[in-house]
Amino acid sequence: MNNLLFEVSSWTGYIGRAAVTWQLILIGCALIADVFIRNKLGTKNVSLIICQAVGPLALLGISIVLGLASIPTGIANRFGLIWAAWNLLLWIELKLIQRNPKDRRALWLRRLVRPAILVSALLYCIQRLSSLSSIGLISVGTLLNTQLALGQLFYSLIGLYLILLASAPIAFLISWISKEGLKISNQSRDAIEIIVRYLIISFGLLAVALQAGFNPTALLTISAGLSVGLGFGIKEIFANFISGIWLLFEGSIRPGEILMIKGEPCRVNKLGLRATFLSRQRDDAELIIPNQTFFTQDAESFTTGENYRRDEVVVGAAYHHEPQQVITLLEQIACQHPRVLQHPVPQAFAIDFAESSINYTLKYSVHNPLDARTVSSDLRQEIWTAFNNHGIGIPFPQRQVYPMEWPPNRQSSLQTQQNPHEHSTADQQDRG
Amino acid sequence: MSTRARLINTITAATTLLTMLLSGCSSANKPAQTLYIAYPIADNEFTQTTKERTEKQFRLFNQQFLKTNPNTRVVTVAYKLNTMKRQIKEDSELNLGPDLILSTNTHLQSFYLDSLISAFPNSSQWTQQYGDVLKNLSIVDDKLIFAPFVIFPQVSCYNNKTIKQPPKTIQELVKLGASGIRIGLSTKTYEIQWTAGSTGAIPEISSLVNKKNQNKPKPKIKEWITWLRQAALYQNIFFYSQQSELVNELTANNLDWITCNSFEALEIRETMGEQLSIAPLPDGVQTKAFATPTIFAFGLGTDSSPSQRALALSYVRSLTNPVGQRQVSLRTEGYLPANKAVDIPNQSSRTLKAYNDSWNDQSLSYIKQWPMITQYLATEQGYPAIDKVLTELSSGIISVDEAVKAFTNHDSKGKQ
Repeated sequence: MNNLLFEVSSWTGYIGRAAVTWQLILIGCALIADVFIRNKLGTKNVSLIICQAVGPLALLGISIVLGLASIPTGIANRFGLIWAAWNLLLWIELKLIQRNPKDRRALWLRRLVRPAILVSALLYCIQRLSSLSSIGLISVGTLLNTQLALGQLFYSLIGLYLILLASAPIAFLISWISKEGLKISNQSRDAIEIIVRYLIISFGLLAVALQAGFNPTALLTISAGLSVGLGFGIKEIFANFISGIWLLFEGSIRPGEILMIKGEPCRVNKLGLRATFLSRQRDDAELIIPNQTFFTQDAESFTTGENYRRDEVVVGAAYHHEPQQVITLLEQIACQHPRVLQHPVPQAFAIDFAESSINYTLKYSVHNPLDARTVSSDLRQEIWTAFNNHGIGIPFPQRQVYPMEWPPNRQSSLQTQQNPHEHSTADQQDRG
Repeated sequence: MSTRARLINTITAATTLLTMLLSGCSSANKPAQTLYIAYPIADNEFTQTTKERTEKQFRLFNQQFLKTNPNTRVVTVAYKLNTMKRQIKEDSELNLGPDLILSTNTHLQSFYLDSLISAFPNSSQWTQQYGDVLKNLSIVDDKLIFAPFVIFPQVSCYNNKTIKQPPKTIQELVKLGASGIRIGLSTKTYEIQWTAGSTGAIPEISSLVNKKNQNKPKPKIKEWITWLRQAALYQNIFFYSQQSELVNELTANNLDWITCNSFEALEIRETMGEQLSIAPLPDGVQTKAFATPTIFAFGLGTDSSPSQRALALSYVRSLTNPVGQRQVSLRTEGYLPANKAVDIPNQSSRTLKAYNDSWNDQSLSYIKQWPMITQYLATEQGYPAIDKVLTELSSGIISVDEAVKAFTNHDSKGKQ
């Protein structure tokens, strides 16, 4: 590490060269001037591209003119070019986001191109100030009995970043090919995508570690020891991670499936390393449930075996209506609803001779479990309308409230019941 | 304009100014001047071990310099040999080139042609300390383009447990191989051309510079090429494409005798210890081996400030004057001093005697032919082309006649 610090601190020696010093001053002045010019232009509603371009172009222009006069301007030139490229990138990114805040190209510019420009510029500077090959050999420490050089560490970090970045599109491509080739369901495709992504990351990490010079045997030993350590130290996280992997392989919970969580249908959006992300239909809330929960608690799935949800509507009809007529009417209503499946056939049953009505249940199935609530609401409305049209009453218990005196005055109570207004008028007359 | 973009620019500006400020402050506590020295390491040997070994040598050189310039920070930067020239060219475009370049004479000549190094001021004062050979190599248009510093003579390194008496002639070398001793030779022209001297082919090779001579019969060159082909057929003579492979095989006890240079001998000794012996390369019956030394020299960078240039000259002076050369030579047996005024204590060491014999008896015996051979072979296309011919010859892919034809008709117009 001392070698690295010595190396970096030694770069200040170049400032002793007049040609270098004055170019650094020129760059510093250009940067400060750019801040002021932007502020001025910003208040005058000048377009974004002009604001972004004015600084780097001014620096480049001055450098080129001075270069023609044989004044050294190499550093200022290179800085101007990198600055211009950076500002151009920011401008493109901003334009894409203005058109569509979720633009994928802007995302890739931010995740890939922007770091690439930064890293390239940094490496270029180091290469000019020293030798990258030489700096790459500087030892930064020992890990797992492996001497770690700065170059190896750098390549490992870059490799790691690229693996994490590339794993998503590669996994998506493989899962898409699998879906198209093997004609599997969307849920299976999602599961394959996640599994492939984890595999790419795992093998990528292994490849990066081997490239960095780690001994495979030592890696295996350490990973075994680490597993035990993880088991005790961060048991919950590890348990959740393993549960997530297990659920994926088992196929019981996959992205796109519908689960009943506390009586509410929820769609599985993503099976993460630690938790499963679900969206609740009722309020679009996102639920984050630790993966381990699905191992320790019951979960009701509507899509594991079948893709439809069976639901029911319970309704009562007066005793004097013939049950067969009511059952036929209920089945007709269900069959006519566009979102009720014809197979399995909707069926109605008389289920109870209740206190004031005969209770019926209409059982039906919907294709999308998340539609169940809407469909049941539709059916209840249509049942009310159909019962009304056919003169079928839906009895309901009625309650009568009698205001009482103590001790009871039968006459007064009855009068009040018959005409409360008269009673109040009589009261007023009595007071008068 | 987005706030973020403004923020980034402000931070960048502040960082630049802060760096300048800090560097200004730090200079109060640090040595007043920094001297940058660039040096190459062969691409296939660019490892931490090689770098540390070279840096160790540099520490020795720096001690000598810092005696008279204690307030100087010497920064040494290693480059890969094949990319060094391009890197320094790009550095120089930004005025960030090194103050000094320590490299081989051929490398520095190429740097000078590309204006990446400057000639030494007051050349006549500097040239007085060198002999004729080094003067011829380092002077162009009466200007000293680089200052020779040390000489790495080409010698043989062998395991004294298996070889009691080193071969004095190539005939003895072949006999040694026949007796079961494992011998390693290189297919690199620069490393194997010593055998051309032992077979008496050097005058004919040097005459190839003149195109008219290329079509005339070359019996000695054919004899040399035939010897190489015969050697490839022997059971215990092995050819390797990389010099580093020879070194590794000797230290791994897979070979008993190899050609090496004095700097490599230091490295081999670290592993083999007293088992390693050094001897001059085997001569021919009538002619000397054309031992090809590597001459390391200092070239002056073109981007130094006046004070850095003064320090660079001081650095070179401290290491090339007789006292400095003797000091450095006495501390290591890795090289010979370039200064003609420094005596080599032959009696004190068999190794030094071998280096001395290699340089004075073998290399300098070809003083007239040397420049022409360099002109014919040491070009950008020359060595790689001949390396390929020799590799194919030793592998049996091409015949002796084809090899002779390819060797004598190669285009020497390439840039040196």
